[in-house]
Amino acid sequence: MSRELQQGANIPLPEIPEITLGIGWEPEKPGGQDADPSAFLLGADQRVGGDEDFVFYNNPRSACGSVQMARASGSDRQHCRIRLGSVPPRVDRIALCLTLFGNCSLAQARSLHIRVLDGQGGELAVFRPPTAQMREAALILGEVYRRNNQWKFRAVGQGFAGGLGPLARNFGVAVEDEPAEATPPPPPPPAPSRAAPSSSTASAAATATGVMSLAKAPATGALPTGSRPVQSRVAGLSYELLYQGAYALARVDLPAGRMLRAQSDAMVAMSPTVEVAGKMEGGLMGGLGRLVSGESLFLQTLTAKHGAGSVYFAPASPGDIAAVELDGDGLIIQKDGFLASTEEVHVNTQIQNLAQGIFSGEGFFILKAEGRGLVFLESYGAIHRLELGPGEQKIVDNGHLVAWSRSMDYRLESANIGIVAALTSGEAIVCRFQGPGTIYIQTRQGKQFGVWLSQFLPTGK
Amino acid sequence: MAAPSSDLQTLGDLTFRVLYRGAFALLEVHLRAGQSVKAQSDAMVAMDATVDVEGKMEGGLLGGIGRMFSGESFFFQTLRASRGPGVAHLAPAQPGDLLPIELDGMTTYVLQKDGFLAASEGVELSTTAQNLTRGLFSGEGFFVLKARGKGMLFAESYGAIHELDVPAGEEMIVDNGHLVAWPESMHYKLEKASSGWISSFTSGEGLVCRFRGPGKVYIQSRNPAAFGAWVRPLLPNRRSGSS
Repeated sequence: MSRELQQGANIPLPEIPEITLGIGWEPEKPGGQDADPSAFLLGADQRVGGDEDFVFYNNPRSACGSVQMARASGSDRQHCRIRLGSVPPRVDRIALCLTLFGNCSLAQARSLHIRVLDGQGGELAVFRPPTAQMREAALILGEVYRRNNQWKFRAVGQGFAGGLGPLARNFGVAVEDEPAEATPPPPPPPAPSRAAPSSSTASAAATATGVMSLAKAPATGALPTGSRPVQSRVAGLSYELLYQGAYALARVDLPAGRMLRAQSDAMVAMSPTVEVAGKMEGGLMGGLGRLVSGESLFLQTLTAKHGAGSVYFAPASPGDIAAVELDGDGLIIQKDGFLASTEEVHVNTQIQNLAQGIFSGEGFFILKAEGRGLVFLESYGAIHRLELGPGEQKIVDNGHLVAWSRSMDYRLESANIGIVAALTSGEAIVCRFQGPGTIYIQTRQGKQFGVWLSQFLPTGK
Repeated sequence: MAAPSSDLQTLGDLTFRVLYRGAFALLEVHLRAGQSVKAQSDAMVAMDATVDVEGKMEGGLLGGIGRMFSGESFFFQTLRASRGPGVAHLAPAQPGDLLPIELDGMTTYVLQKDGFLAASEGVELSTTAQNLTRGLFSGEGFFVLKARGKGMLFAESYGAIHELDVPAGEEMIVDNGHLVAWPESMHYKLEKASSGWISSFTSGEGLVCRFRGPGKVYIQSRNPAAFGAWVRPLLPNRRSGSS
């Protein structure tokens, strides 16, 4: 009773409350990539009514409950169950698709099929789209559609360039931009004509902005680092910034004999060839350290004494890490903004020129980094870079400053009442910068966080 | 930044997925009727009405040891789908990621004592005090949790979780405050950090672990004690007290 459908053919579906579409392929990971079925509930305009009409690995069920995707066993790898009676009237058709991640094509999949099953699992029809010549990574397998109050199934078998993201966009789903390429270095450069989907891709969780993310997490183990090693031009070594965002982690690969200076708390893990020594930088610092109440300006040195080795390091606070290649112009860094630097970089502390005498108390200490090498900045919050053109001015709240070009003109100012930030943070200091130059700011401020948090800490002790 | 989730799938006899991997991960388990999952006592976020929570301590030994951990609660809950299949959501207290590990029956994993979130029925848990051969430590010592058996284990972290792959014969030194989990088969030594490690002042930890490969050590990109040291001076009304 089962019918083998040719491309373009359709069959009417019997009057039953529920059908199942069985989708199968071999091998499980064609070309080493995940294969994922998806379903789109489309209106007469060929677009979804909302992101919840996009059913895929992270949104296995449509909001109306009529379409549900689940794992299957046997020759079908996935089942898409459709309760025909509860499909909302606005839905005209349901497109069933299969997509691969990464730079591969469906030609690498064999035995591809979509079967139409009745409620008891009896096969009504099967369609085996020819994929041998396919260059695309996405395929519209078939569609279940209404025609004159009658549900029908059509064998489509149409390839779609670009993978799940572009396919979803095509159907009107708001998809977040592809995240950065995942851990393993990508295979040879992708064909320029194809928008290469990230190999890490996918999650249906609609974010606050209503944009859907396609990022996909592995079932077990750590997340992709979202990074790749970078060869530093100025420092002559490689480094990597892993998991950038709230909990960034940095790694520097030290050639034998090379040295890294880091904030005293920074070391996370290292090769046994590396030796750690505590050290205060500059003769002046001991004294200064005492002035800055509670501030540790101690640095560790991490030296690859017994051969090449790697050092992983991270800030104490939640936040990001930025790497700056110093070459010529130096960098001025807020005392909390310094995470590490390679040895050729000279780091000194200074008290800011408090010309206006507006400050009482602890003053404003900064670090000066000069020379040719790498500097790693840390932030509480994300790090944002502001580029100023010649003559351009920018006023920055002192608590949000991380670092800036040494050559840049700037003035510390007492914030006047008009500046609300000063009121809220209790800081009355802003910096007025004049370009050209680069400023690194952080999107959150530690002191404000402290004030915010303290309201919620239980009192007593 | 995207918060990627994993596919719903069955591994180690547990159907689960981890949602929002990264800073605020959430574990979703789909229990068959009668199936249960062990979880850290505060972990339950939401569950179906078919699921019952039972308080339980794992292993007869634990009651005693539990007392030795000052302030450490080593109680588990068991969430059992006693009245039909059900879904439960579990989460750690701190911001951070979750690490799903599939135990194959051969490898035993060691977890930091704060690192346990949940495990499936086939996973057996026990606590042990680490081998403190050199008598370096006074005070509470270094207790860890061991997980063996067949099933799924979920570790939790503060910060991002990184897999440190240590090749055969090579070594890696890891700050104790950054450890999440490692296979028991991996040779390692607890060491007191050398005097050069100023880290011990600020974070209060003077311990590092030296691991010998082959093996994969899971580390976290942030140290809770260092976070504490960072945040303390930022709190306005506690500023005066230095320690």
